[in-house]
Amino acid sequence: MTTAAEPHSAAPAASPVEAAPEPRTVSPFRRFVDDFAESKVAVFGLVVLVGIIVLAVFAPWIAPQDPYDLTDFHERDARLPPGSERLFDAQTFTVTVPDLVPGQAVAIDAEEGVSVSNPFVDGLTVSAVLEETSDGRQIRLEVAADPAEALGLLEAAQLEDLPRGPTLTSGEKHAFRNLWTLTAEDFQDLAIVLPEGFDDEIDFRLRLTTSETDPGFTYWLGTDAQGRDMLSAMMYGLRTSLSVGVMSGFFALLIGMSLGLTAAYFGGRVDSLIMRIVDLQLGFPTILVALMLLAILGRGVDKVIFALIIVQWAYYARTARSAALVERRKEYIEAAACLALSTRRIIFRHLLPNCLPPVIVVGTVQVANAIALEATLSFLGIGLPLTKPSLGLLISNGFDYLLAGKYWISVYPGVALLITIVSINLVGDQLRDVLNPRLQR
Amino acid sequence: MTSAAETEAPPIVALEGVGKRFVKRLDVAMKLANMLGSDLREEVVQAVDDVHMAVREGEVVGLVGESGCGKSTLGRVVAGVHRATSGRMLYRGDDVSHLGDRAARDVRLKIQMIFQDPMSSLNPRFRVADIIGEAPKVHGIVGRGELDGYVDEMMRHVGLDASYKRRYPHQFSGGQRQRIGIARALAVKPEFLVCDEAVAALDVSIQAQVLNLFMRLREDFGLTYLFISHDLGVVEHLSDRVMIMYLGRIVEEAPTEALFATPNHPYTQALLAEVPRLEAKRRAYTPVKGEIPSPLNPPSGCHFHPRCPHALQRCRDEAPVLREIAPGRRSACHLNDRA
Repeated sequence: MTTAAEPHSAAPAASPVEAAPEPRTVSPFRRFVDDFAESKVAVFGLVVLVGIIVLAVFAPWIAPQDPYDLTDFHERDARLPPGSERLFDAQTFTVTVPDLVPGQAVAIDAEEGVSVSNPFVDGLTVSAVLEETSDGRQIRLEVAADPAEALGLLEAAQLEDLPRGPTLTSGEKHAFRNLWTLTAEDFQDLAIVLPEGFDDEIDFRLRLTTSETDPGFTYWLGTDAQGRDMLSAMMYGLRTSLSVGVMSGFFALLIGMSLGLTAAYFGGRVDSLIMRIVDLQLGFPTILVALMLLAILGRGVDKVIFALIIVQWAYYARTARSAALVERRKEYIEAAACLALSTRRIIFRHLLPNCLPPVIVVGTVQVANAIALEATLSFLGIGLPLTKPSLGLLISNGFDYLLAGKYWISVYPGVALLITIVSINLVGDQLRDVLNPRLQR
Repeated sequence: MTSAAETEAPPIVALEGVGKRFVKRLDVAMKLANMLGSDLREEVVQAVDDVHMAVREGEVVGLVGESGCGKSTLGRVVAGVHRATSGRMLYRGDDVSHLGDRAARDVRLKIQMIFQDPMSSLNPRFRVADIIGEAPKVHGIVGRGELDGYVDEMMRHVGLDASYKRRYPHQFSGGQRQRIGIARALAVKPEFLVCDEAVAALDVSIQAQVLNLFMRLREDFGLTYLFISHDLGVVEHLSDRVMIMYLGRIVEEAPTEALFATPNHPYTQALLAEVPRLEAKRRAYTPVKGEIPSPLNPPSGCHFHPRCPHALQRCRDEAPVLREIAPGRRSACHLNDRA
């Protein structure tokens, strides 16, 4: 008892100071952190959850692709299995061959082509020459490659809108359209013999297909039906799911907690009224209420959040009320009344902070529920709009392809949803243990 | 201890016919059930029933009774935590319920309460400095700059080291927590302390320390105490005057020595017979027979008659009045009429 040596000037007859349990000042928060860390599983859950939150928050900076940028993905990449490399951007391009003058070669390339929908592959040049031969007029197409490997990238060529009745040295005509398809080898030295007496302007379209891939971009988790990178879509989906879950949880907590505290503090008729509304609310199946609300309100992030708040506030109200009923009967509230502190001060400074722990526990579980509910609604097609892909929407999108063996479109977002909800619940469980007054040491 | 009751000091707190009822009202479902023919009644507990008492300045009044007899409720009515449902309470002659807001607040601050459970009576989320300093700060009892020193001073008064003021309640032992509770009450400069089983939750050794602290503070600050306890030993040691309460009513009131020497009411006699004494040899304890009746449905007449060894027919029919049986002594028993 070293501290007892201090002179008690104001209280000379002071009885000895009792020994303090420990010399260190431990704030409740510090104690809370220590208690929480006792469960390794919960810490693991927290780490995973923090990772997921980081992924979601920083998705625009770390996602390989922006799933909202329609120019950044292409249908030809659709439904690629996990691990596929992205096909090169300029895989297919179309040019309209300009007027050809007999005997003069025209280089068809990005700059000169009349109508170029995509630039040419680097190193590939195609030129066209109109020739007069004994058989009549013909167009010769020549492909030059520099470097020579570039030629290997060429996979197929298609000619469209050729003048009527041509004869091609090779290639296959479409059953009824004016469309010729050639392999890369056939295309390298192609002559198009024009029908006799043909004298008009010659104008046709050429489409080259190359097989070049972008080695810097791999679809680790495959692509969805729109050719979007699943990994990026999931990061953005997590972002949507988490923000919807957290925002609806936060507002539901605010509303529910104020109503619950009000009910507990004032009691009587106010209590009865609020709690009967809560009973009514909880009597309806959550999903049914949400479905009805969204059917009336329509789609949209704000509407989903609103619907989730409506179906969730009652849980918070009930929890806050029960916690407040317990705390209200404790003597420190009586002591505060005895000290003539104002009602507002008692509610907000004394009652509310002590009611928070159980509400926080319910909050974590409810956020997980909100995310799952939002996924359910989106899966049913009435939740978020297509432009805001949440995890539920992604699962829903891939659902049609599941039996076609393209499992990755549905399964990976499903796994992401599972991990998110399990990690939140792990954290919530440990919070419940730590904050449970009955288990308090 | 010379009894302050003999001097002509005006009562600091007087209760006139104070009663406190707790009513559990019927809810809608119960009312509906009643319409359909069931017979549900409102549950009424008369926790405190027509209590008259006066506490003079500087006195220590002990209030004794079994658990559930309403002594804590009476204490809370005096401290202003509960509002009396009947009767009136006077503070230095003024009816508390007729005071203006400011005056009512001041009276409230003058009467402070020390609670039984030293853990639950302290807000677990406040540091000691905030627990003690909140009310003085809010009510402007000390200036902002002096608050720190004031809290230190209060802590020293109750024998706590001021260097502990950054700690939280859970970091203290039971006795220390009770001291914090006392410091919190002292910090608003009260004149009257209601101690509701203030030492019941403490170890016996700590009890003695806290009781001595109460006595020292009484001298230092000129405090008056209403000391609520079920522990007759503590009350005998501390009080000038003792009141015995049974099922919401005061059944006997007497100066401490007189009461312990010659208990008048059969209930008091039964209580005193059960006090364990060190000098007692092998002796059989004969507990007061029966349980304390439910306050929801108290017995007719004298509440004690089902357990009283001397019960008469009159005791069943008529509630005895608290009457003076000797100077400074009052008792509510029909047996006194026969003498």
